[in-house]
Amino acid sequence: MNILSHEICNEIDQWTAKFPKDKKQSAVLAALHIVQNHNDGWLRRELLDAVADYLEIPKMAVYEVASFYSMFDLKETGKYKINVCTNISCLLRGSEGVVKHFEKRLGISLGETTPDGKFTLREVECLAACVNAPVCQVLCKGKGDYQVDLTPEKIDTLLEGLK
Amino acid sequence: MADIEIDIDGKKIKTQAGKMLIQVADENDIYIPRFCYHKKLTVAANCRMCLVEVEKAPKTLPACATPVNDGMKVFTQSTKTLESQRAVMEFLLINHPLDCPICDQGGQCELQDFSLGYGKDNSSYNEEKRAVVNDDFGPLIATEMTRCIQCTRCVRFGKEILGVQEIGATGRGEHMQIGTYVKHTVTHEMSGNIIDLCPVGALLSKPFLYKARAWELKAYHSIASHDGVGSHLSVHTRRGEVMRVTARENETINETWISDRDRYSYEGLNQDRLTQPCIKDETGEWREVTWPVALNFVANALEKVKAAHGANQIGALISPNSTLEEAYLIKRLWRHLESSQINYNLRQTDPRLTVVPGLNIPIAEIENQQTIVLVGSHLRNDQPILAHLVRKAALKGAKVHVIDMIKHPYHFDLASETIVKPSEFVAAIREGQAQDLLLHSLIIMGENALNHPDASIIQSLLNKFATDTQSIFAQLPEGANAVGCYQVSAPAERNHLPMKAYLLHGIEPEYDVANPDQLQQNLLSADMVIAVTPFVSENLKKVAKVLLPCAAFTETSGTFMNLAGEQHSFSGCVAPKGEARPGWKIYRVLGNLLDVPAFDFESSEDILKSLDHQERQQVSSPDVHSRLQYVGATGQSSAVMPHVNQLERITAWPDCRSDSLVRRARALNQRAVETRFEAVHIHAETANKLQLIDGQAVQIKQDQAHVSSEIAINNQVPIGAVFIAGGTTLAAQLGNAAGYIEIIKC
Ligand code: SF4
Ligand code: FES
Ligand code: FES
Repeated sequence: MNILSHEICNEIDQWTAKFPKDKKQSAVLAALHIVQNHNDGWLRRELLDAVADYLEIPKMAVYEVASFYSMFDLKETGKYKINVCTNISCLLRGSEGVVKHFEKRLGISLGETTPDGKFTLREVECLAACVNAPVCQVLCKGKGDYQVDLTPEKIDTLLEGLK
Repeated sequence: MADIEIDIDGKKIKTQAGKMLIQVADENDIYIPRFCYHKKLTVAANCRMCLVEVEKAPKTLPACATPVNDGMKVFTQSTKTLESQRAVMEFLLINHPLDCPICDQGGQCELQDFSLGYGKDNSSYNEEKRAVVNDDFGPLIATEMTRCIQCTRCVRFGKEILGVQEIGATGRGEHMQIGTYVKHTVTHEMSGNIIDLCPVGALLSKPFLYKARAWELKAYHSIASHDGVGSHLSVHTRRGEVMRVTARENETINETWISDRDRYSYEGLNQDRLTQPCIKDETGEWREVTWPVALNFVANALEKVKAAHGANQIGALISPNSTLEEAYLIKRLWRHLESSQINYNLRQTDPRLTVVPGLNIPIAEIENQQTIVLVGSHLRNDQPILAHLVRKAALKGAKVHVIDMIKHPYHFDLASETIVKPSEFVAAIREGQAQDLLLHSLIIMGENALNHPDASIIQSLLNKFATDTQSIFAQLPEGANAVGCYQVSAPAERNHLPMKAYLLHGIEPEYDVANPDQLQQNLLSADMVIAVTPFVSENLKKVAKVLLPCAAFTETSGTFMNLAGEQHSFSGCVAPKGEARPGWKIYRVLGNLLDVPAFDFESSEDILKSLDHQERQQVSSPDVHSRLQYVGATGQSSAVMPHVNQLERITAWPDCRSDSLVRRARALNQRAVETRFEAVHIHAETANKLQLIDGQAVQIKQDQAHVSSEIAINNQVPIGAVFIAGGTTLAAQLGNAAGYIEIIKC
């Protein structure tokens, strides 16, 4: 049974149309993004299987891709995913303090989700915005913004705004 | 490809452009260490163990991914090369546990060997090693994934050779892990080869786990004894005990692979062995006797039956896994007794059929076919290596057509697939494909077709069709030596009526025949039943009067002829258990007692030599095929009309139930539990119509037999048909494999 909605399938079809008929596998990244955004921001096993079936590729090929990229979440996440960069530029500009402040405010550690299911906090590698380090990215349903030149005050305002 | 000359370690080598450096080195016996490279798999170049110095290249290059060029100068022993190898070894060992003392791979581990040969004695890494959660691949393959060095051989093997991606690499960097991701049993019929492929102790044989160390084992050459491929095996023994079986390379047959059945069947060798000749006395008690007593008893009994009832009342039912020597001696004995009753096609249901077994092309030629037609052939189950070659052909663009009575999962694309009930099978073949589509094809008549009640009609139809289309017609019955049995003992007039005396050679009457019920009756009413068998069972004790223990697979020397007609002789690897004797010795002595002339064979080689002077049935000569009468147009179907409630029975023997040895192989049978081979398989629609659900307990009725079983919904079975696996407890209680079944709700 196909658990992908009509809407999702249509969106995926737009991507498969860009590739030769026997190369549907090329659309796997796009398909996973689409499915994740439509499904609470994370990918249940059944969804991975459904993508594999829809693209007519082995399930393993989908597992490999989905587990490789950190943009795909294979465990339930909060509504907002806060990705704090801890790579070199941000580290030099105080990302450790940024992480600490987030942890204090949210009452969770890196990699965890708040009990109310609202926020997931984690560290990521360079977000390619080093000029404005320290940086984080806040994602909701696949959409979101970079928050730059972070300070404790900015973080407080940011979290207020997300309530 | 242009001829070029390169220089490896000062040695001038002529070769062809386009080859990889490691290939050229291998061909010239220059060894370059490697983990990820395997000649049968695509190049991954991820382990970097094969780095070598090449003149004018700024860095050392991976030999497995560097094509050779004219004038190339390579140094496999230079300081630069050795330094690279040491560095790579150090990296590979960063996360590898140092548990060699308890690792089964210890002593046969490439990592261990290379560490010694090419590594350093210390490491700059002091931090913690990574460990991963272990996986579970099921009863055949043991895993210890922390030992994995991520060479991806197993992953590529799955994708490229098996055609199923059950194993993959998930995660990234430090977190990358090889596994099934979603825990499940690896079910492919050739999955065990990943054990041979894995360079470290991450993938191991589960039945062999912690049983022996590599250096305690002796390796013997042998030939696989379950299908007609003649796969080459390496049998590893310790103190007269077979400990494991692995693949032995033979490029023109099994390449570097073997089927799981061939790898794991040895597990049955220690079960239910008959170790002493026994005779049943008048009170029905079994008495152990010496060989002379037993054989004299048998000789007398045979002569008595012959005198009282005539020689054709003496029948031999022999396993198609019997060696050529055994089959030949039995034939000679029977000729001497003047009986023509020898049968080895025991699963056949059409008495009009004479199977002419054989592929009629070399095995390695399968992959070069353009068109292949599989008629009633579950090739993946019956002849896994041949299925692998058909897959190779398909990958090269061959069109594969399938006509069958049950839908099998294939690991390649089909050009067409027709699945019909047995009663519609002949018609489906008659209609078939347009002739011009199938010009010059390979037409394979498999076990399911050969065991069809109208097999003789199918055979003649296909034979004519093959002639018309200039195709090759192959008949692939069961057994490791079907061709050999045919050559020395082509069936004359077979009598399916009850006989007064039976010889059962290597078979179990309830499992190995098309109609267990009928044979059971015949055996019980016979005056004399002699069972020559490595294994004893309650049923054999019930039906037989004499039990003679014969050597099992790996215990006897002998010869198998594979389906391509190649003759492979092998010697025994271990001594037979207890008082058991090689089959040929038993018949030799029996022959002497019966005064068969010129019967003093000293060895199986002796027998083979004498066989060379005999006239054998030729398998592939065209006149054999033209002798097959064309009855396709007129042949009368043997089918009777079913009653309304009856379903057509389809029976095929799954690989773990196909002979007495595999039936006792624990791990193989355990893995197959998921296939529910003891259940009654029907299509969901059939179930709907009969208001049955999956797992429901039912009574099934065929002729006189009433048996309880359970329903398994299986949409591979055509609507209106029932699939019952052969060689099972369920099938053993029933009659004809091709009859009609009634399902009654309990
Ligand atoms: S399990 Fe063995 S074969 Fe597979 S990737 Fe790891 S080391 Fe290589
Ligand atoms: S290091 Fe943080 S954005 Fe580049
Ligand atoms: S063998 Fe060449 S990189 Fe692995």
